[in-house]
Amino acid sequence: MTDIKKEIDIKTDRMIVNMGPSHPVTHGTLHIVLELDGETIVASHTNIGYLHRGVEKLGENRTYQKFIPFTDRMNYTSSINNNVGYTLAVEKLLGIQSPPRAQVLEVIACELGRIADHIVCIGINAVDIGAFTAFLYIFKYRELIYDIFSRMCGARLTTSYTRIGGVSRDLDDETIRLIRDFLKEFPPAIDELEALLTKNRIFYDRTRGIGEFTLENAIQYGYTGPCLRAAGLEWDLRKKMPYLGYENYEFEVPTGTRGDVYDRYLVRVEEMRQSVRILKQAIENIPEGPVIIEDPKIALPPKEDVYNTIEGLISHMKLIMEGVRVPAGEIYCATEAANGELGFYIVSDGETKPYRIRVRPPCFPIFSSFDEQVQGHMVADAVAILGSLNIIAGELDR
Amino acid sequence: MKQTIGLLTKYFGEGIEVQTGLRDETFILLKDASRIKEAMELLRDNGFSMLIDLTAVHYPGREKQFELVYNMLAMEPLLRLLLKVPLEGEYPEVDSVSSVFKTANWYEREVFDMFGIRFKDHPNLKRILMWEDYEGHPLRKEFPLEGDNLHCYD
Amino acid sequence: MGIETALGNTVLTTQLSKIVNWARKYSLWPMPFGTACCAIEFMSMQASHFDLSRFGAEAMRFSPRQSDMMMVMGTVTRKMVPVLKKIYAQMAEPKWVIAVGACTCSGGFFRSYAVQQGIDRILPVDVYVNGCPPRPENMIRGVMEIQKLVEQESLIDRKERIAAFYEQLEKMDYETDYRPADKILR
Repeated sequence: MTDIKKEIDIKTDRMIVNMGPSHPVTHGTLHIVLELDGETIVASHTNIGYLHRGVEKLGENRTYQKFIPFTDRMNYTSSINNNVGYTLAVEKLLGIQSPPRAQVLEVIACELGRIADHIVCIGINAVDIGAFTAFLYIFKYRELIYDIFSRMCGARLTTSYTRIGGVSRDLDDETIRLIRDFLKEFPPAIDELEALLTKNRIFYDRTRGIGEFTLENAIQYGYTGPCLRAAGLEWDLRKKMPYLGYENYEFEVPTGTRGDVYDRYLVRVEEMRQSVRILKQAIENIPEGPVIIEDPKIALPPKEDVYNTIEGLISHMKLIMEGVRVPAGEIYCATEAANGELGFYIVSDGETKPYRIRVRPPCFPIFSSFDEQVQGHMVADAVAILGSLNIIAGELDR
Repeated sequence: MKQTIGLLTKYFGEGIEVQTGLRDETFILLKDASRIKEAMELLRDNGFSMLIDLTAVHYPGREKQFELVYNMLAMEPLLRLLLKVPLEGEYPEVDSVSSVFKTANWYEREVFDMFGIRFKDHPNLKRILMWEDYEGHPLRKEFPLEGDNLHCYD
Repeated sequence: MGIETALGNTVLTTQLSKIVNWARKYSLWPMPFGTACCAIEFMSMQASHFDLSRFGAEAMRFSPRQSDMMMVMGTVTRKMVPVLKKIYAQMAEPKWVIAVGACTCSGGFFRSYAVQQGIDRILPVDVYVNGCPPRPENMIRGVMEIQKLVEQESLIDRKERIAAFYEQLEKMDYETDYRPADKILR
């Protein structure tokens, strides 16, 4: 900030520019008030909470299974990662593990979700900067992912794919074929995207050196995910504390050096490639077996049993009416969602409803650094920075 | 982890209680809430460089009805630590740790908004999720899910 | 009729409102008021695969002053209500409103202290689109329903209808008309 101050000797009157809560670059509902000196941002004040829906309070009033749909609507660009994160937390609380086949399916779902999230983030970030073409090119592949999701779980966006102790449906051959096709088609599309953006002079100038953030600052602010990696730290929970058997897959964790918007873009692009790599390994090695554990106290029985046997009917009714009984205690379970560390802190008092459920959203701490990050930049850069942080209001406010 | 517990007991002595919960999760209970800033500084200087999460839980039945939960992360070696601080009173007040961790700024605002716990020396202690003149603290147990007033922010 | 027999096939008589409506039908200027998940589906609707421009409503304007059809997509929280009202007031006439998605229509399953239970308590909604979130096809159907409405309704009719809505809104008592959720839900 001081450097720019030195360059510009002429001071103008402070001007206040209001962005949001309904503004095209806020992708949702954020409220940013910028204080300008000419076109330079002197101070910024952010105001959030316009999409606060009381998810945590609702969670206290629902059974453990009934909270799964709420997790969809938190980070709605990659709902499936939230589903996986939540059910892993409940499974940890129960002390169970989903069967091997379900774990691989969850990995497949997670990586597809990650790609879908990065597509939105990169596409929209490019649109905000003025490159509409990249958005149209890359969004086609998001539709392909949606097709896969709707075959996997019947919904495009709000997936609710996982259940406590497994996943809701098995993959059929047609879906596996679709995923194989996608894996064939997508890497050339990433190249195409890179051809449009990476060496694009305008994009480069608009993003290089913008929103630079040092690693110390990033850690102070609790950054996780692509933004932290762009600042130069190789930190990925999939590598550092593997869950769902991520230790069995070969992949690399990309890092940046300067932590600016351009680095964040590069990290996201590389992560998409790595996700394709994981998917290729996963799709070839899906073990046989059930997709949900066979415990009538936790998992719903198969539909044939519900219709034909009295035991099946009773356990179905018990589970729907009462829910899963979870031992008293509290846990924190974190997964690497597309945006960073998604944690669930659940306090159970032994009932079928959680006593307290806390979601640790990845972009809440990231967005809290926005005020500091935009200082000294131009107004147009604030837009680029906001896009690169990938703020999802549903997750930010919950 | 043992090292950290050793360090904390050396520093705080009786003020620390180590609890092992479900699935071998370790919690550290800091009995004296006024020493939270010291504890955070100590942890920060000893490897726990990141404050991952800060939240609270409301236990209306207990004598100390609020419990702050500081979720810390050490990167090298990888350790997670949940530090709990019980608080007394209807509208308790504790020291803000936003000078130790910048990220605590918003987390503390959120806890203030949702639970009504005040933080001393916080740079900007205002409601963050609800609007400013909203009454009540939604995540308290006595607060009804539907809310107790139907008026909009205007 | 008279003039056509005199001049032959060179003229066509019609009502003024009909021809105006026909022209307006394919030049809707939507204002996307996207707050949550439905806005992501809206992006799909706008992008190449579903392509809203086939229906003459692709000129997205993010400024309310340049648009005449508001698509409210996503949960409207109580904190957002005054913003929504203000944006509606700023829009150009004749102000069509589509409520997209369960949350916008009725609050959806977010029956909590922070969520406005349906925007029809604050704005005159013309078309409701169901789904959580609705598929892009369904959203396109919503736009087509608006086109049907545009065709049928003259500007005067519309003004009367909106006036009637606000009259009814004023009579409504929030304390009694708002029913708290059933105990079973809790």
